[in-house]
Amino acid sequence: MQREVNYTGWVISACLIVLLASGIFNLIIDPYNIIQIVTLPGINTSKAGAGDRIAFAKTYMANKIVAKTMIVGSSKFDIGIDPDSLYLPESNKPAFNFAVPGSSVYDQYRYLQHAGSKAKPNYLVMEIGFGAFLTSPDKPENYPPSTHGFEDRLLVNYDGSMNNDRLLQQLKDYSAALLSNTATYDSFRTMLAGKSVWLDKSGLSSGWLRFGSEVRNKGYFSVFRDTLRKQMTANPGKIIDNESPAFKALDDIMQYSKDNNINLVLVMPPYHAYQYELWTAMNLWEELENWKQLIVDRVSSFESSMSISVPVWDFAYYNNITTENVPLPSDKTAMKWYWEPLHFKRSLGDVILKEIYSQSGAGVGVRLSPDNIAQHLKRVRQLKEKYKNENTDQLLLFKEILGAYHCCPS
Amino acid sequence: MLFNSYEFILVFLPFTVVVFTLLSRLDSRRHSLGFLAFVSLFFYGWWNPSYLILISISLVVNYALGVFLQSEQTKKHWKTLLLILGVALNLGLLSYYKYGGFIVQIVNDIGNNNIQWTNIILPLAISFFTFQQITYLIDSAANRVKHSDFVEYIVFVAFFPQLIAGPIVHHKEMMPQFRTIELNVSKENLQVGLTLFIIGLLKKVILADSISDYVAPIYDDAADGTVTFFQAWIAGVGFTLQIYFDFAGYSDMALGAARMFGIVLPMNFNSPLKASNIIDFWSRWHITLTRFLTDYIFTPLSIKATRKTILRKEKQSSSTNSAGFITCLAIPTLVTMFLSGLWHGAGYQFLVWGLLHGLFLVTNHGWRMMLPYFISDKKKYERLFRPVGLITTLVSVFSAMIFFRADNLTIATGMIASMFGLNGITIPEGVFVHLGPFADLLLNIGVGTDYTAGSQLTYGTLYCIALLLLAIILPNSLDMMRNYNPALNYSLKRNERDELFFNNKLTSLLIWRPGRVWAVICGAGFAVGLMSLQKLSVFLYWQF
Repeated sequence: MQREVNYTGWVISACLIVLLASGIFNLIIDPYNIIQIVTLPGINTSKAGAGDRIAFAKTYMANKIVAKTMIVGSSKFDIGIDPDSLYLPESNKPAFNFAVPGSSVYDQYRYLQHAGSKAKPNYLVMEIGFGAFLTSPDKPENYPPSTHGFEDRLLVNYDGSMNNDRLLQQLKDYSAALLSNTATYDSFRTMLAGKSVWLDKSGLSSGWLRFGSEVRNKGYFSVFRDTLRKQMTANPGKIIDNESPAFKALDDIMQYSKDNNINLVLVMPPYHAYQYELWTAMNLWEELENWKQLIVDRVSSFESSMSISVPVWDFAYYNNITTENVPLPSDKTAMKWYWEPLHFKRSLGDVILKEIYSQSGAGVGVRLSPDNIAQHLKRVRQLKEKYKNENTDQLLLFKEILGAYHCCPS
Repeated sequence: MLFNSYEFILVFLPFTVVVFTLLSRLDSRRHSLGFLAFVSLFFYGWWNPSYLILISISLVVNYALGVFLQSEQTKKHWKTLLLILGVALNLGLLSYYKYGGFIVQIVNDIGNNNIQWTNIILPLAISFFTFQQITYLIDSAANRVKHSDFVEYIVFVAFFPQLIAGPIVHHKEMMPQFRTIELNVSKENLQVGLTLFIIGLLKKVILADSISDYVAPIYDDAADGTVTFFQAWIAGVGFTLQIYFDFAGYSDMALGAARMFGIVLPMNFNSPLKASNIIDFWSRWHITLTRFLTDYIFTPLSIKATRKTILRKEKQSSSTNSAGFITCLAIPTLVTMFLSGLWHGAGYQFLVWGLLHGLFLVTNHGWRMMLPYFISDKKKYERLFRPVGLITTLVSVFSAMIFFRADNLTIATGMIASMFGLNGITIPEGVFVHLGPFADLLLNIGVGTDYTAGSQLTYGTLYCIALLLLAIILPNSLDMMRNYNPALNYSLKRNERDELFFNNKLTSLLIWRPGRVWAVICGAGFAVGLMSLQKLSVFLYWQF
């Protein structure tokens, strides 16, 4: 006869042991880089889970870092601007890349408030992307918007007061980072990824891990084509509106920088020429010019009223880097500067930093002011024309991409 | 409060089990039953306290009507009147909350009107407690119910393990169990209940929720445009498996939770994807709903039609089998399944889903009737046609399920068209580039490429295959727990094939025993299930 066992007791004990083991394992591996109790090179340095949850990971990392320079923006800066770059002056280091994919300008302001509430940076490099300022005229948005989910884990509220919901959110986050199957799975991924670092300590995400396998398998042409086509079908009819939340958030960022003695630099990122051609096809070229003008006017007005300087750098135009040839469909040659039309490689990020801080005069970026904006826009139109005339093969490729979809008004 | 929530698993359920166990020492039926009634209403009120008033009124009114209907002193015509009133009240309540918007939509569609309807939050489980109370009233009027006190009645309708999504229980199978409720606490009940609950939790959080990650985006895409051939199949197969494991998991959790209080609920789910025909499918899928629909809709309709047919035969002295088939079987089946569709949801797509299943059932019945004219060797037929029947049943269920899940009929029909290749057949380019020499072959036969995510197709397909094999090959949880009376109406003979499956040293290890090995497996599974309840959502790399 089988000896009677305390079945329920055994079930509960086994359950508790598995929970405890998973918790300890995830605590040590720390796949989201939010606990940081031990670093085991080659074992827990990859942080594969953080690569998929950048906002989550960086929000906690920002609390543990005292950075002189804070880099904010979206996915372009997340993978493109290296805080440890040689071209960032040593006096401005350490730097932390707090750019978060998909974040709006308002989100970026909130992240800045969060990081600044612990330790204020001296310098702020901010990506201002054209796409983040486009708005739907038929969907008016309030400012500040109603609270987003991510704001629960920020240290301060929009009005600067302490966020009292944070403790509960922290408990949930830590509990999920220690006691969830997702965390255990990500811990294994982290261990198996070895030396491939998804998100490094200074907040830089790996563009290679993000896009590498795609460009290797499909080739750059296909990756370019897919990105362009995705944009064609997404949200047509958007415009630039001077009263949109993005502009108001930019005001907030400028005011915050001024109030806290932070040297702010605004950067319009370098999209690939195909992106400008797409915007042209989508009837957005004039909006792009209008946007640049509005930014310069707004910043200039702020500078005058506050007696401070906020440099605005434009890298978003045709030059010898942004017009890099896209390989033919059958060609698997690697591109030097771009992953796809929106996302540039770290090498171009270095060029941006070099231009801003060394003023190398390489001609890939222009510091905008009310005095030179009209001339600059005129010159860009000429460069656009020149690109059209001198790159017929590239434009044929582009039209092939565009033609198949019939997305845009002709 | 959901079964798969921390508040239920870690607080509510352990607390109620412990208190119930302590109360049972008092040997007082009144205390044990009263406690169950109280916690069941608390469980219901947790979701939305204001609807506690609604269910309370419904309970009081139906119980009072039941008392009058059961009374021998109530005259027959009063009984009829009270029954009509009771059924109308229940259906009226259900119609107002569940079908109000849909009725207005139909009126608007037909008359091209623009009547506005304010959306009302659907009270949780209203379809279940309404049906259960209607059966109670009908059976009370027919003198098939023994008098019960109000607390018993509350537990019969609102017993929390079965309140939210069934099984739809019958008073004759529950009341006898409530009469000895204070004697129900036992180690075995707790062990069986805990094990069933853990198995159900794993089905829900590991199997059903995982595949939903691949299924939901396809239905979202379908709302914006056409989905591809393979996406449509993943949508159909994937959603069937999602709802299968969701429902199977829920049913196991309900059985398990009830068993911890010594209550054995009726079997509601018996590996329906193993069915070799659609009649068999409906005898395995949501069994208690099928029973309800058969007993209270199909059978009365069919009997009435049969009587009329017999009378007509007597008058005209000639009739055909096909006319009898249509009036006595086909029409009642279609009406029943139409109502089944309506019961499942307020929307045209649910009606189409119900009617499709009605058509499948009628075809199946017709086939069975015709069979003896063509095939004499039944065994040979079984051998030959069983695989065909299995595949036909699966394809029918998969395609009909698209209507169940899609947001509207237009989306559903578009997806069905894609599913059957009417929008062409394409493969994601990300997959195509890995096909080597097969790529040219596919291009030559007209298979093109598309720009959907290759990983979605690959992983979605693999998930579907894996889950389908699990559903078809492995025995279900009731079979595994078969030596411990896991559910009412469960019998080993129902699953002859699974019986054969267990005739092996290795596979017999799957039969549950309350020993250490099973305890450790269940404990580990419980931990995995608990850890699945919290997720960190993945950020999809936004490219703007």
